[in-house]
Amino acid sequence: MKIISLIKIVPKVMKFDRVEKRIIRSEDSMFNPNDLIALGNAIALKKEYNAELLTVNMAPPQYKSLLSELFDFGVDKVYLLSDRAFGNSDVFATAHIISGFIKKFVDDFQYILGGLFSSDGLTGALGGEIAEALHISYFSNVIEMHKNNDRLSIIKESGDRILEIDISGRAFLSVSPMSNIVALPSLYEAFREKERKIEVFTNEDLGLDINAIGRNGSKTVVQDVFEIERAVNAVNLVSVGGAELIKSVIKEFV
Amino acid sequence: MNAYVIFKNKLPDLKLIRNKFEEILLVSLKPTFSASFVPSFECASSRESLDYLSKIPGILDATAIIFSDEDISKETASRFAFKYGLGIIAHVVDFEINSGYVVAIVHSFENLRLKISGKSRPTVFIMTGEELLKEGKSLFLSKEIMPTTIEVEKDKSYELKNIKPRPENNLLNAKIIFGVGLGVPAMLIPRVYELAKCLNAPVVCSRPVSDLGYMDRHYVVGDTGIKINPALYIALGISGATQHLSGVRAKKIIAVNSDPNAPIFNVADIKINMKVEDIIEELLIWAKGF
Repeated sequence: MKIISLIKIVPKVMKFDRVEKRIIRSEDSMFNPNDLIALGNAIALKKEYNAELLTVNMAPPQYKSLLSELFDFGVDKVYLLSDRAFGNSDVFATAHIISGFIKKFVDDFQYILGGLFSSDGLTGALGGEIAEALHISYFSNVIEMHKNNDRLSIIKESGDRILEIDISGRAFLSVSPMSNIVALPSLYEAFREKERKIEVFTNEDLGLDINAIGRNGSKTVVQDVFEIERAVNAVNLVSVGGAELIKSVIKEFV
Repeated sequence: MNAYVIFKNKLPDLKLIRNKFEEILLVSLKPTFSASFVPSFECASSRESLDYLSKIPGILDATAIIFSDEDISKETASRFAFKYGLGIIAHVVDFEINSGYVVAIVHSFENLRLKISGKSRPTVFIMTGEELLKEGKSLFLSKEIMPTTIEVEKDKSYELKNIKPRPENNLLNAKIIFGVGLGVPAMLIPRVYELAKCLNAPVVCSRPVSDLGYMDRHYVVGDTGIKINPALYIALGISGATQHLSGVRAKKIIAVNSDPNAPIFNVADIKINMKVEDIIEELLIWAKGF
């Protein structure tokens, strides 16, 4: 059995450049925290099913060294989808690329896991779009999952309710931040003998229509970015009398 | 300009939508609400609700299809958008209509907003803002219409085994909340708890504090945790990473950090460039007098 975990690389800090009116993403990057929670669940499932765990990531090639750390978490194969043609893809075009890759190269998967949303995008729509592209089940806000004979039992949040559901067949599971499992690197995996080659796929390999990916394939356009006013009474940086200042503000609220 | 609004238990802010669209049709994912369209049974999987929406007359001729910010609604929105090749825009807080086009105002991060439009018509939107509904309440906006029941095909790939109420979270109602970041030495975390207790305020933390085992991960605020909405958030030793701030919606933020370049100062209303250990004892002595 193959389990796929989607991993996005996100900037550690994002800032707004008021002069250029654009969002600046720090070069210092990390794995999307929610995707590490999904990966933690994928690692647990891998052990239950004795499955092969694959990660799929779409990023420029300079992130290969960061991605190689995934082997230390217990990932068996790391796939990087990297091509200039993939740049500026919105969620629709991204779903087209990732589902196109999965259909062509890992169509014998059973489950796909992903974080509920990414730190730098927050649309949270990628899972459902990929599930629809692959014609598989889709459940979001999943907090637990376990093998149950030929089914997968999941527990998911749904508003003010917690649902227990059994799934048969293939599925995409978006994992809730409230899930208690977070992926961590292990010494065993770090020193285990295994091939640690990141396989890179370009659009030449995927063979997708250039008009269906990147900016051309995107269905949305960002027209403007702006700041809204924050609260009044903001003061400048102070370096003495901090406790007194906090006391005076707290008094307004108690 | 017309919009279909899809919901299950919570509606987007109809006051905002009503001013922008000439006609609005409500589509419930449960048969118990008296919306314009109701399903033959409660949709519990996105395949069922996708089948339901695909049978609703005129939905693909709409200007906008607006989904509520609920799990099943969002699951369906993304499937629906891909199936019909439609643009999808999430975290919508408002709309503008420019020359017949719908432009969504979208919450980005911190105090940033984006204006995003769809290339497709209709475009799919997921709108924040919630009005919790009581079952049986009439949802007609202006005129009485008999609901049309749509037969839905049961999704046989899942079985709903059990439904339980979610445990209550007292953080959601707190007026003041203290946040602990890595700038708080571990030995001082109990002092922060003591201070917060005097003020009847809960304590939350950033992700790294939980990862180090200093606080339970159920108190992590941000992308990988809970969302908080207090009147006052006192961020102690929190750097202000995007991943933490995404979970903070406070009316006023006090930030205490020894690093003058900490990103938290970009969003804080009161910016105190001091070490937490230099203020905590004085605050504690004062708070014990409450």
